[in-house]
Amino acid sequence: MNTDRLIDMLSAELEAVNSGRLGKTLILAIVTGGAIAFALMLVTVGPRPDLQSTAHIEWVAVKLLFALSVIGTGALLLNKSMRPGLEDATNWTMVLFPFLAALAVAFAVLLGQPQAWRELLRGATTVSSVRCLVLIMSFAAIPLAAVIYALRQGAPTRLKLCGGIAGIVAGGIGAAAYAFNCASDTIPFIAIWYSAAIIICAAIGSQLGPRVLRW
Amino acid sequence: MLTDYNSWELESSSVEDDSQLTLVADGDQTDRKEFLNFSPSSARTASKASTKGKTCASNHIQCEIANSSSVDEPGQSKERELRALMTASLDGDGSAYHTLLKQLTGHLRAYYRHRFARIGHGPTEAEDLLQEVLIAIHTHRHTYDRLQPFTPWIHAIARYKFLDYLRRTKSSFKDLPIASAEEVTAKSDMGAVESALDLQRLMSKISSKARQVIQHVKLEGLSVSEAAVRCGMSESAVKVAVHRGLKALALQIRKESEA
Repeated sequence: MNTDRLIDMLSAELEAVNSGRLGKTLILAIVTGGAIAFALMLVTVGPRPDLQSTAHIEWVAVKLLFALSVIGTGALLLNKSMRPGLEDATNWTMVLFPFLAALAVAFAVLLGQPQAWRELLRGATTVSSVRCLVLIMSFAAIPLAAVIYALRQGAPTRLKLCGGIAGIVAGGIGAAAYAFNCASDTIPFIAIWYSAAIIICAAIGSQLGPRVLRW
Repeated sequence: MLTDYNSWELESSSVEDDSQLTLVADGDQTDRKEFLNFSPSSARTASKASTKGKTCASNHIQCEIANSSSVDEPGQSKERELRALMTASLDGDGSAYHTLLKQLTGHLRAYYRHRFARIGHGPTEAEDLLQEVLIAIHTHRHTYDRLQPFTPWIHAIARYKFLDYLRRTKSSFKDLPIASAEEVTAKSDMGAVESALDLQRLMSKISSKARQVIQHVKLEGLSVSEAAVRCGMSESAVKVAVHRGLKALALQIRKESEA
């Protein structure tokens, strides 16, 4: 085939394109994924029964704050990762900030109350930590598919990185849904187990990236 | 399998990069002076400064200013030109788009031939990849953000497609040159060769609806509305079918190189 002919072919009847559509698709995918994860939480484990109490609502808010900051920073980076050429100008470590902040607060809390260490590591929390991991990851599955669908409309060039961040965003969505059910009201628990669940999602995403995001 | 995109880039030295670039400066329209001006590599900047230094050694400071501006300016004017063409293309200006693709073809051909020579692949394979990249640019043109510079966008695509090619052909690669965004636009090669791809045969592998609309709109030059009437489809359905068809075509080209 002659390259000149291909160029004639591509530029014939050229359509104008809207480059802002890409970001909107990503937001739509995150919102849709979030709604599905929330609905899944409602029909499976349901919200915690003691939600009437203000103190418990405050804890839900704390968990949501963490999950939403993870989603927010991740979405910002995903929006850049689907457009080629922004790789070098992007601060990819930003994605870790919410985790580092949560761990710092957790560390401060643990320094203040040494008995909390024992609580954290003892058998009493093992059930809730496994539950936390499993539920966050299950709630994250459909959001991950939605985010990957949105990314496929773009042109990511670092597939592992992009897939990993997609996993983080999906994990964040799963964590936001789980926050309504989770009865473990301590900062160290959130910082460790929520983060662990989200990071497993990131690992899965980075493995999927090179396979599903190729173009 | 290539997993880390950056490790190999760090392995090579820019001195080697320089000699390799000189070797491929054989395209009929390649202007050596031009690519020297565009190239941002410190080694080349230094060598240029030394040659200029001989002509205007009298005023050292003035000389330095002159050098720095002459290194930056052509790259910037190229960037401005391509970016203006791209912006017009995104608004649907077909002739601007045609000019843009022509120019990019020259740059990308030089870029890929240089790299393909180093992995022991010939110009025909480079032309195949070039055509795949042109279709990829077309079907992903909405990923260019008008507020961002254009050169890094095209460079990221060119590099991604090259790495993708290495991965799927399992080519061995060693001491590839350090890449910088301006490298793609630094040189141009208009010496086209016929690619091994047969458009008619590739077209026969995509869906009949997509084939029909591409035939009408892209090859016979009908307008979208004329094609819509002829195919009994709505105009938006024709647009969607053309877009999907081109993507399917790019997939077929990719499969060819895997085989």
